[in-house]
Amino acid sequence: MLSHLDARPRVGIGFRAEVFEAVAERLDLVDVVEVTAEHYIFGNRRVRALIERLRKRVPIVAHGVTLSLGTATAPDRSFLREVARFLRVVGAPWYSEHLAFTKTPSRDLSQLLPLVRTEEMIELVLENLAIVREELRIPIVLENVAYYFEYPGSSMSEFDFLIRTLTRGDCALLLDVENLRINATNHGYDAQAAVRDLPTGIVRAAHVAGGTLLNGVHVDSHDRPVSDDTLALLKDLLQWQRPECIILERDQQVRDVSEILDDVRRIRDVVEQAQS
Amino acid sequence: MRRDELLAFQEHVIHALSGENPIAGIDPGRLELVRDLAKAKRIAKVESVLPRTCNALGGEFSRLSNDFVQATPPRSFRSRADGLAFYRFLARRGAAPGILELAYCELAITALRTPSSREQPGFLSSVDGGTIAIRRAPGVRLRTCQYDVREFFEGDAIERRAAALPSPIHLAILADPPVSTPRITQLSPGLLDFLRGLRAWRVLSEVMDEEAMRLLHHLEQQGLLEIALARE
Repeated sequence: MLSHLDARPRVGIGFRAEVFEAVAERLDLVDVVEVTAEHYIFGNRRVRALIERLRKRVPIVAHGVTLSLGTATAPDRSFLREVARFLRVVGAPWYSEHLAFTKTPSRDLSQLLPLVRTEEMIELVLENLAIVREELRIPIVLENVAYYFEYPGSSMSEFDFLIRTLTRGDCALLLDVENLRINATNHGYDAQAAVRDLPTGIVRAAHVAGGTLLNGVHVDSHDRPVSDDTLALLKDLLQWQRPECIILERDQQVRDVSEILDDVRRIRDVVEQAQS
Repeated sequence: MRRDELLAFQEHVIHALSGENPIAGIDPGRLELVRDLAKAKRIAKVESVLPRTCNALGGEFSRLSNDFVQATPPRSFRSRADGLAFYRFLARRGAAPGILELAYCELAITALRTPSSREQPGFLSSVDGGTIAIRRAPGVRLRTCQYDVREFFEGDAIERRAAALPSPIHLAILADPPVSTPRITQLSPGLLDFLRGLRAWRVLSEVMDEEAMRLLHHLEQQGLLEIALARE
């Protein structure tokens, strides 16, 4: 277990252009903002200007959603060069992406899909990671995704696959606590045990979000306040790991920005409790 | 599985999730859930690019968007790509002219808001050095409309209904200098023809007399034209 003398994680929010002008008035409440590279690379002038102004006011960490690291083709180098430019603009300490795939050469579903959990897939991800590193020249952090079905050909568990890929790929983990809660509930495993069994120091950052229940399945929807169960799991995580930052993800159904700021306060409370 | 086998399997998964096919060994209910999540995301992208068009479609939008997702495979994560695909889908389905005109304007405005390499000073290789040359400002779109779709863009309200006009109007969708706010403005038939002929750089003296030159400066100030000295 970690000592209370360990560095305190920074608490922040994910950048969402639709609500950010309102949130920007209360930047004093956050220590860090996570910006998705695609927001900048493909954003309009207003969004780019917001991100560039933000850079001057608060530290930024960089995230990605479209790299599709697990697609069985080499990553798009021209896109990676755009990402590299974005990373320089925001001065990001690392770049995080999902251990998943979203597209193939013929179609782009824009939905994070799980990978077949095999040795061959780990090899493939490592080859793709080498290309990503070559272009970005920055530490790579990989995130666990919510998954709703299992492939018949998988030969290892979710966490075996995740940790083996991270370890062999020399990557840290961005642990999405909500995804962990959802997966544990949907697939019937012990989330607390999974947190306890993570290798020491592997978690560099954490995501928390509010999910929903659809036809009896827990879904990572980012459309409501963070549940107490997710915050309790975050508290467990902080007993064993010391992420540098904890990011609240909220990008759907934002009726009132105060909901986001309330969640930031709740996360801070959890950090305080874990420190004491 | 080898890399090519993995790719074939991933293609199979993506096709199944963007269509209706099952995948052997995977719970059909869970596949349906992911299919619905992807579909909802795609429809949200269309709505983000074409909010006024979707609103103008009213109750029809739900049925049309479902048909769209079934008929048009997802090719890009970018919202603009789905907006453009939906516009083409509406055109194929014979949507009302006013709807297509509105969608065209919304797409043009989205394109104008997006930074692009076309904003760089144009390359004048086709024009002799030292000669004044003109072209239509990059990003300006021209459209002849049977409906005055400008009404849809007034204020913040998107719930508008434009009536068919007795005769068509010519519109330019452009970015107002210097802050690049998109704007839709009406053009005379003569000005429309003139601007249509200026897609590429042309030597000024070949297209204008002195009187027209004064008009040119006015148009440049409005953001409709670019005027530049060709490089030596």
